[in-house]
Amino acid sequence: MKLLALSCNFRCTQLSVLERLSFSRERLEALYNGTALDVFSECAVVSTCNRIEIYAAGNELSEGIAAKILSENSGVPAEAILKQSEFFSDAEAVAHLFNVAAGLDSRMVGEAEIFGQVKQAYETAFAHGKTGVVLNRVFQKSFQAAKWARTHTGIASGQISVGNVAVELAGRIFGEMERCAVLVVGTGDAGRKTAQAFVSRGAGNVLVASRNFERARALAAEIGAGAVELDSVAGRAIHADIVVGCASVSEPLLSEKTLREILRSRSGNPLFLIDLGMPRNFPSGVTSDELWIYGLEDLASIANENLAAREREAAVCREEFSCRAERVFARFER
Amino acid sequence: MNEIFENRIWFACAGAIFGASCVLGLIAAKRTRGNATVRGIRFSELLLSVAGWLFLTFALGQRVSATGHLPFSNIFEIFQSLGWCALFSTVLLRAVWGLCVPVFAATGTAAVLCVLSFVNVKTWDLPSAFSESSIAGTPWIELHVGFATVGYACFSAAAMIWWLFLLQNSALRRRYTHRFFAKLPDLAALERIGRRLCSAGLVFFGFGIGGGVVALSGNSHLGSRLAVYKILVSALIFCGFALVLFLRRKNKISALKFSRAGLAIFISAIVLLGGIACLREAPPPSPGNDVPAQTEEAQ
Repeated sequence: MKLLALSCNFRCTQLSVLERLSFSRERLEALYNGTALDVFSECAVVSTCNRIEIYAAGNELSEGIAAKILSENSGVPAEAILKQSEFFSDAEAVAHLFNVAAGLDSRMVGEAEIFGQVKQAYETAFAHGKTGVVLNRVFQKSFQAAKWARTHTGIASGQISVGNVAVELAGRIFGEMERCAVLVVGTGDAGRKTAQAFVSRGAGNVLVASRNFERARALAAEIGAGAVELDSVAGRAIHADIVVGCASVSEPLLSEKTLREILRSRSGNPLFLIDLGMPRNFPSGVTSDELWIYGLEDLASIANENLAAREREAAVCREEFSCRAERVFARFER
Repeated sequence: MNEIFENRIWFACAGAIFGASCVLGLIAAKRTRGNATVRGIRFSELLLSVAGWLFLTFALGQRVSATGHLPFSNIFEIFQSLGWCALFSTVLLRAVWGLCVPVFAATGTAAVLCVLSFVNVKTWDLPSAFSESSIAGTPWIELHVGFATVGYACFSAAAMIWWLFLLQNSALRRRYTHRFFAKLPDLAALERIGRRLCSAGLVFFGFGIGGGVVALSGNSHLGSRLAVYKILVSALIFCGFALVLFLRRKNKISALKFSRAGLAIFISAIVLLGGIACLREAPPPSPGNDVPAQTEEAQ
């Protein structure tokens, strides 16, 4: 019994090709209900925004057959698919699936979403009767491997996006996010992601401010926040616990004098300023026991440290998975 | 009185167990990999802290049955009781305010107090000079010592909280992001609970001072050197905590300064407790003095 994994992923496949290869729910249903996959004894397709993979088990296997199936469904020539894909066989295919399920092969190492996606893909294939003894066992073992990685290593610890790092720091200062008032100035990519991170962590009151009030309103509506005018930032900052500055400005949003006045008006409550702007949105000359200022370089440094730590853990996991994969595949060869 | 000094072995065992538990807790806090191993270490840490607390409870119980008094008769006993309270307070803080104080902080505090109590133990572990001291049949001395000790227990729990606040504050200022710091309670919770513990400590301590003044005046010992020292020290400690708490409530000082001041006052209070023992060791008064040193209470 042989095992095969053909992987078209964000590392080796162009985005445009990946988009064409991607399976919608309807196309996946049609593929499973059709006869194209009958060439394999067992088969499962994993399709996410970052990868399209075919896992197959049988006696007559080749990456060419798998590429042909993808080509027939997407219109991308099989040769192009083969050039932009990774191919694994037998124990390596098992190890690859372990790595994918545990998030080791993801853009953000250790992310958890892929686990659910792999599980969903397996359940779909199982429901259509496309899996058998081999793939059932391999996928179950991959779920165990992913859980092991999350509980026994630091693969998922530490935030690796700037927005989530900011939220984690805010948690160390304020504790419960429900009681926090957050003011986000700027509606660019950084502001959007940070605002979303705070909203997703349950921040009680999130306001968005922008030079363009319509954009602020649009972002606020998208993430479930409120919108305010840019002029009101200084007044709002008195009552906000966290102010995120990610606007393109030539001068700081708050002058040193204004910031000192704001601190005096806050009755000793801490104020957390997150400066994601370039040039800086907040002055650097104000110090206070109740003032916390973290800039983009601080957050990026923390995110990079956490990512490096995850990469170190990922290396440990890969080694472990390689051994596990050997053991799992060895049982099929007996 | 020999049996009192024999049960010091139990106290020493408890202190050693607390020390071991604290070390395990610090090791577990530092590890980032191998969560199964960390769970094992944490379990051992918890087991040791419970074992140490049981040892200490047993030792204090032995002491009570031997002396017939609550274990607040001398500085040795008070430090041991404070160590007991440090462990107990972590359970209380979690149950009442949902504050997860790391176990190693409590066991470390208890271990330090145990070591302190054994320093100069000859001076500190003297039997109480008062076999009974009452006014109209009520045990004012033990009430005083009981309230004062509970007050000190609140202050020692607050000191632990303030220490954690300074740790977390420093880590955030220096951009330390090790998982250990992410697991510490947040600054807002630490500040809030530190204030509450300080307030509670002031209430109990205040009652303790009041009871002490009544007891001493009832025994006509107010003018003695030890009495003056104790009243002065107690008043200083009380006023110190009251002042910093008042300033913090009025936002005249920051949470950081409040924690630093509170911790400094607590450490001073512990050091000043030693002065009481030194005064008790002072040579007996010359003949003709109507207030012999032995009749003054031992704390």
